Amino acid sequence: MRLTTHTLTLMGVAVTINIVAALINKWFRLPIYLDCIGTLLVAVLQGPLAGAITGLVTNLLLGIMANPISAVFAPVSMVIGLSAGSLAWIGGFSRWWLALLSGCLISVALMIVAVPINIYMFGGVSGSGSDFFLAWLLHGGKSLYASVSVTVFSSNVVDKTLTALLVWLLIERLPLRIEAQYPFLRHSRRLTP
Amino acid sequence: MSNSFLYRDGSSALHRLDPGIKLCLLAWVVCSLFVFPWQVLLVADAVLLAWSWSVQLGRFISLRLLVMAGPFALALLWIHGTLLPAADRQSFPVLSWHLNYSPTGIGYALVIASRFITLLCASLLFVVTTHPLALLRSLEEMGVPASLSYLLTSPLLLIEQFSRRSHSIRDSQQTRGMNIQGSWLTRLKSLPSLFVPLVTLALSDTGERARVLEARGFRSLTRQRHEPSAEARRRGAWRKTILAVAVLQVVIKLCL
Amino acid sequence: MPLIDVQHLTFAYRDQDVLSDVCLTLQAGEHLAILGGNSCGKTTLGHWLAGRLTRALNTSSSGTLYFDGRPWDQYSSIERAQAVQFVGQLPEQQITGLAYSVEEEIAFGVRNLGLPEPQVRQRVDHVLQACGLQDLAQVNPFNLSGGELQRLSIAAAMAMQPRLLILDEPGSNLDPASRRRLVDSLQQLQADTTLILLDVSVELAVHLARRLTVLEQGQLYHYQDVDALLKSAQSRRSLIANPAADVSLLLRDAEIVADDSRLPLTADALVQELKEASHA
Repeated sequence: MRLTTHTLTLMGVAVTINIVAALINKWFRLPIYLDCIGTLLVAVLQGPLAGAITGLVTNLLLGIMANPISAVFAPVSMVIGLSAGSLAWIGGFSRWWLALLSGCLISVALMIVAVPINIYMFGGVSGSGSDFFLAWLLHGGKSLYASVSVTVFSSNVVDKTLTALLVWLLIERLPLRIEAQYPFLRHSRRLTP
Repeated sequence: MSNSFLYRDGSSALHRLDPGIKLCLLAWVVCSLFVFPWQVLLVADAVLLAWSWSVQLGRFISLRLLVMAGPFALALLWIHGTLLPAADRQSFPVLSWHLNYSPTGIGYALVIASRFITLLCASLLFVVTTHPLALLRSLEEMGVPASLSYLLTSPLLLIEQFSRRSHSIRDSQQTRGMNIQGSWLTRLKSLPSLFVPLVTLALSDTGERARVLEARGFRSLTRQRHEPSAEARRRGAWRKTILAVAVLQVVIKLCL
Repeated sequence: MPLIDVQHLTFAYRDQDVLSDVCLTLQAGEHLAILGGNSCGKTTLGHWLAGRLTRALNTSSSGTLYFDGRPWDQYSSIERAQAVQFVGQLPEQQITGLAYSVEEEIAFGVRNLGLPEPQVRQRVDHVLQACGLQDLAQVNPFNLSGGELQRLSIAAAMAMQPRLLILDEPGSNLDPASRRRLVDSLQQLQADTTLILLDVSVELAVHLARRLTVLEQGQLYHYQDVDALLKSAQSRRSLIANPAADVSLLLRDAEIVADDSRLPLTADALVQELKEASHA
């Protein structure tokens, strides 16, 4: 399937937004990443395939630019785009509370993919503060798989939920002439009675 | 070029090596992670690190390795060596208390840590000695489609523009009352004030940029590739050889 | 056969009419100016003329538009690239985002035409010269000023040597000297290149266009020349008119100056007119 030029340019911009979001996040000092806002935006505007490719390219480029390990987690970013686009298709971004729910579901989907990669490649460990939480869960008798799953989910659910809400707000405020360019957006528009 | 990149100027052999060949070497390293034992990997890391110091890249790479791999390796040893249940748990006296550890767990931690360090070391050497533009030109030579090339190139060019735009939107929104210094809730509520104009402007550019690309014939013709030079053919042969070795060693490992 | 033949073109965004029963024909080699105030629909009309058919969500349209006897959807993308180039208002939106230098930005489109490299180089060098960009050839397009970007976007379009070149407010980011240079550059266009200038004032139009139209409330009004246009009540309301002509029109309304002569378009011509009026 050949992507249109418009979809390509949108994806290019979305990847840039994903990368720049880390800079913006430093200004706001919030305990979230915002590094998949572009992925979710593309998924809602153009569908799951475009969202998945955006996630993939973001991680590949981050691997070249800032953190080589990012490339290993490219499948996770792809799943974020796929799941967001699929949820958008069934109206998951048509209301603010549905967007919140979609954020939670996206966190579940990414957990399913991230945990095996994390365990097989990195022993379940990240080298960040969440390893303390992981250790606490292990000390409580949970298995490695369960502990890593809980850690990954809990460290992502707030970020993905807030990102999904932000994307909902963004598409709600889109000007008419921009909205007109994205037919897939009709899935995220409220049905008028 | 942009200081968003890890790339550092230099004239080492690795800087001069074709980016496509370096990419294949990186792929070979990735395959080797699952072939060679951790001792061999750590020795290889030491050799690479020593080489990086010899070409004035040592400080940069060592610091990055320390920051990224140090906490990771310690966490691995802690969690797999002392926390996870294991049949061979032993006790080691340390001053007035005993450290419970598992040799199997520590062994596993060493395997994972050595793979991580090797992957990181090789990746860092790759990105530090490879300018993104040179990599993309090499990918074009290898026949990567125009659309993929666009996806990899355009963000690298847009990052600076977006950063500047983000700064100016932040400054102008702050004069209109956007507060990024207050409580976490205040800061959270201020997020849309920055993202809405940034994204709306970006989407506005997008449609027009797509039209400009199409107007300039983007992807409309299969590029007529000139006959590759002898040098290009040699590079292609090296890339294929390295990839073949990478795959072969994995196959051998699986068969043994 | 006209190069462009537009019949009864009507276009709307949801319930907002933009173009209303627009009819226009243009022969090859003609230079036309479409003038109008902000938000009058010039850019939308320009997009339609360039084949950027805006049949998108929440829009409606009717009418016909033919380029060289065929509708735009019968043109392949490469045929369209060779047929028409549209240079938009906002210069930063006119760059591809694929080039690390001004030279590469210009060469990008020309290479996509499948031309041999020497011919690509020749075209690039020619437009660099014509648009005064030689010193900026190796500069990253994202580091250019607004005026420089505007010259670059025009240069990149000219390098494609299209049959129709549409410029949307090309002078908006340029200082007076750059605008004069732009006029010189465009006067170097090939004789058979058709030019459509979309603008809010007559300043560039008087030098570049031989036919003038005004778009107002979605409808296109045709004028014989600049004089007829500036004397028209409709155009005075909707255009940023030439200051000298504006003053002269006020003087004519006040019957200080006779209404039978051509409107002055420069300060010197206005002074001359006043001198003649004072002697009369």
